[in-house]
Amino acid sequence: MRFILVTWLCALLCAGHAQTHDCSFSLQGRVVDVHDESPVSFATVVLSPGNLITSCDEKGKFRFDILCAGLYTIQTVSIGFTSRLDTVDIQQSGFIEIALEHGLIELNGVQVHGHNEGVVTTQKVNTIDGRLLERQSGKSLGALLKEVNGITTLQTGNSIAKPVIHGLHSNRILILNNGVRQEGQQWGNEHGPEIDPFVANTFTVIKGASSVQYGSDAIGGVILVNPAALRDSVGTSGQLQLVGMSNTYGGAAAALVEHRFAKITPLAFRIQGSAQREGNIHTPNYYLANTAHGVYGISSTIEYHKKDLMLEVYYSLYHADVGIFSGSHIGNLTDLENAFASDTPLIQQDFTYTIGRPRQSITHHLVKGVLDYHNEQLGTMLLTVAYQNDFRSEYDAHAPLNDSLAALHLPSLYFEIGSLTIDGSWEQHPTKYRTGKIGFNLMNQQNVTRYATFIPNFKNYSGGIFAVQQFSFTHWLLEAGMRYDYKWMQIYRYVGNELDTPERTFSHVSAQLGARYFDGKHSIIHLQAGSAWRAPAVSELYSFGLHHGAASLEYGNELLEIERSNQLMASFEHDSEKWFVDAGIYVNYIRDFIYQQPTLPAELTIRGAFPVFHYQQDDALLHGGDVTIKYMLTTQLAATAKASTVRARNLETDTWIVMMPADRISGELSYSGKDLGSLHNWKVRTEVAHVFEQKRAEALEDYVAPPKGYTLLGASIEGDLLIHASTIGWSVEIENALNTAYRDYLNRFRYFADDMGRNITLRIKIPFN
Amino acid sequence: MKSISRFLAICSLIGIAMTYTGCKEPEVPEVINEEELITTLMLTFENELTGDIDTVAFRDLDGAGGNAPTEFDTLRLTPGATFHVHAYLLNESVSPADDITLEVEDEAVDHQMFYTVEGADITFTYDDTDANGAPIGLHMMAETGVAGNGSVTVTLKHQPGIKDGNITTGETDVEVTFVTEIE
Repeated sequence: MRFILVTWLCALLCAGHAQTHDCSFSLQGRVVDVHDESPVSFATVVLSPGNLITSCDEKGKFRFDILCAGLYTIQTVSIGFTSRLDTVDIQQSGFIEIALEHGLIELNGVQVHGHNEGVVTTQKVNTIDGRLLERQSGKSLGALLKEVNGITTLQTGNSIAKPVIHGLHSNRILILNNGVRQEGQQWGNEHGPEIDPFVANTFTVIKGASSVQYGSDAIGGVILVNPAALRDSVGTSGQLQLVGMSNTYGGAAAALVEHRFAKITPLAFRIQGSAQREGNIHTPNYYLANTAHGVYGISSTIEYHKKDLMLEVYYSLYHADVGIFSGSHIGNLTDLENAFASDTPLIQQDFTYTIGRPRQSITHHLVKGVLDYHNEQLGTMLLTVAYQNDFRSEYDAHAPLNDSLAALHLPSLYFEIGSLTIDGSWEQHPTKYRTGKIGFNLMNQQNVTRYATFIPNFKNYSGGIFAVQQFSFTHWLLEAGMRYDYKWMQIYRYVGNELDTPERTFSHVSAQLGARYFDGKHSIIHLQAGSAWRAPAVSELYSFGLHHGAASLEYGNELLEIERSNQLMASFEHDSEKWFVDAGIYVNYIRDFIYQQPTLPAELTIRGAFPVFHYQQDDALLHGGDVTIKYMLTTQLAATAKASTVRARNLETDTWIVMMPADRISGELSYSGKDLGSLHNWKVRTEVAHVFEQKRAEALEDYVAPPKGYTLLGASIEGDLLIHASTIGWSVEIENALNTAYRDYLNRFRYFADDMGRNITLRIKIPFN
Repeated sequence: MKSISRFLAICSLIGIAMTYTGCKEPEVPEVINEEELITTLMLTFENELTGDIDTVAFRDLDGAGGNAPTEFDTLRLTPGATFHVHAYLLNESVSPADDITLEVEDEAVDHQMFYTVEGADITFTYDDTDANGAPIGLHMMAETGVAGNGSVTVTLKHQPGIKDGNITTGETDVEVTFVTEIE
């Protein structure tokens, strides 16, 4: 199977006087469809040596700057097209047009350097990388994912943000951190993902049930967090990123160095680190007491890649100390009522960087080894072994009264969870019409809780096998996959003073069918049907007692069974000279949806009355849609409109499901300027976003009615500065420009205080070679 | 094919390694005894005139949640009398019981106990002070008036560095409402 390869080299790289050490060239280009020369949007272009990766814009355009003279290869990859490799000899700045042939689709897409896990599927995929990602640096993982329409966040203040996909979050979303299933304390609403966004350069979101390849549980969607592939030319390069934020007087710095050895060319490594510190958050009218936080992370990769074989060892450390807003730490129902009744928080504090009580301290280690064997006849075999350990200490507002006890600085609640995962897959070498992948996932996990018994100790073994096949035709790509998972767990808990060790097993089949139609020009239609399941988590089965700081008594339900999601999704993408449209709708019927139900009466304790929550299951129906429309008013001026909606009903009680994102709309105007001297790629953007009041909430199931809707204004300017053959990327962004006082329904602090006020962020990225 | 057999060999090695590391038993947890758990609030009312002592208690031996309180008394006092009131906080989930009152006395500058009366004709006045001269509330004077029914709510607030005599300030460590009958 050979492909037709066509290239036009438009502006040519004429001879001229070769300046061997001049590194000021730029290469611009456009990726088009070979048949009609229509642009191929968002193709990935990799320039080697240097392993520079960029994504085309919606017009298929890309650009590389500060290139030295010399011979380069360009690899171009895009969904629905055969990837191709070109060679260019750069002696001066120029323009290249790359034409792609329609082709078969590789399951694992971009195989830039071994294992950089690209995603090609019939499912709709959204990616945040490149400039879009640079504009988000310094934000938490959850906050930056909000860039994708249809993703919202469940927040505990501004430092803890969990991504919500189509109304689902926590255990229902799978995060693959550098190819490894992230396992921390993801069950709790106030437990953010333990990942430092600075480790990655690509964030990919697959909305909807995507269990087959990635594991059961992912009935809401999958988030892939991937670092760049290592440089593939000999030498050293790196980058420095600096971020400053006005609201919290916060700052972040991240640095990255990578090197490929001259003497042992198959060997390369990267070391990356970041640190971030922010002080108390300022709302338009007051500071939020004890909302400072600090984060640091380190990661390192060593890779050996020779011929067919690639070995990689990766280690990362994430540590966060997060102050929990004092005004939200509640002793009992009376405290809660006092806090609700007050317009401003009952505890006031001026600005400080000090993190006091209550606070969380989280450390997450991940070490993994990857073995990747690729062969033209056999395809690709991938084996990943990873171990991750997550430590979470929660400190109550109240230090022990006893001085000697207080001096030990013991947390009020401590979790330690260790997870060993082994994942293997074999991807067949694609034929013209067909490709496939089979694989397995194994996991062994242990949890230890100390100082309180809210979540019992447990261990758990789980395993799954899957197979996916894809068939490609001229316009159609069809996909079918199946998966079987088995999960065994044992719980160690005390009932009174008696040790109780119940064992539980869960197993089931997941399946998905997908189709993608590409009209050959501008439009793509995705259709997806999926059936996925999730075993109840230990927290849902066996949590017992007082949830510190939340003023609630939570009781697990041993009788919970698996919940099963059956989903239908359809989406439409159109991309032409003037228009860009991305619209999707979905309906998700979840049988035995697990949720927390407040139960009356409140329970009487020595600390007063506490509301009581029990876990229950009912059938639920979620449906909604996300639409993005962009129109080019001129070649430089673009207008974008976005809208997103979710509806979630409990079918058995015929009520709205609590904590679902409110409807939202936004509009954006952006102007991309022409180069001005050393200022390149500059762009001015302004955005208005409106979030409606969540009217679809049951009055009896919440302490306080959902807050009013709000409108926020934002703006940014960004660009590249070419200074001495270096491209310095910079941006200035203003969020909540009018300093509007507002509260968001999905932020737990909304019961007690306003959200963040005006924030101006300055970001700088300096590469070096 | 050599590479494939090498690949498979490494796979099986890792498989064996996993069997060993993976089968490690998790430690069976120790019984967790929450430190400084307050299980019991006890109030003694000593009649100034007769020396008679009335005691009321709220007792929840397994702490918040789980089993219901084992003792929750009604406060019954004679009308028109004056009482010396002492409050005690105990952890009776351990043996011998821990006297948490001493810890509160040690940190008196960060704590205050409040007595909120509804309905009944009874007046509380503070009879103790912390190092800063502010009331603590472990020792009180109470005066009853005419017969009648109502309630007394005892609230211990933790107000680290923010002690201001205000019941809405700080976090609640104890809040118990005793049904009160003056007869």
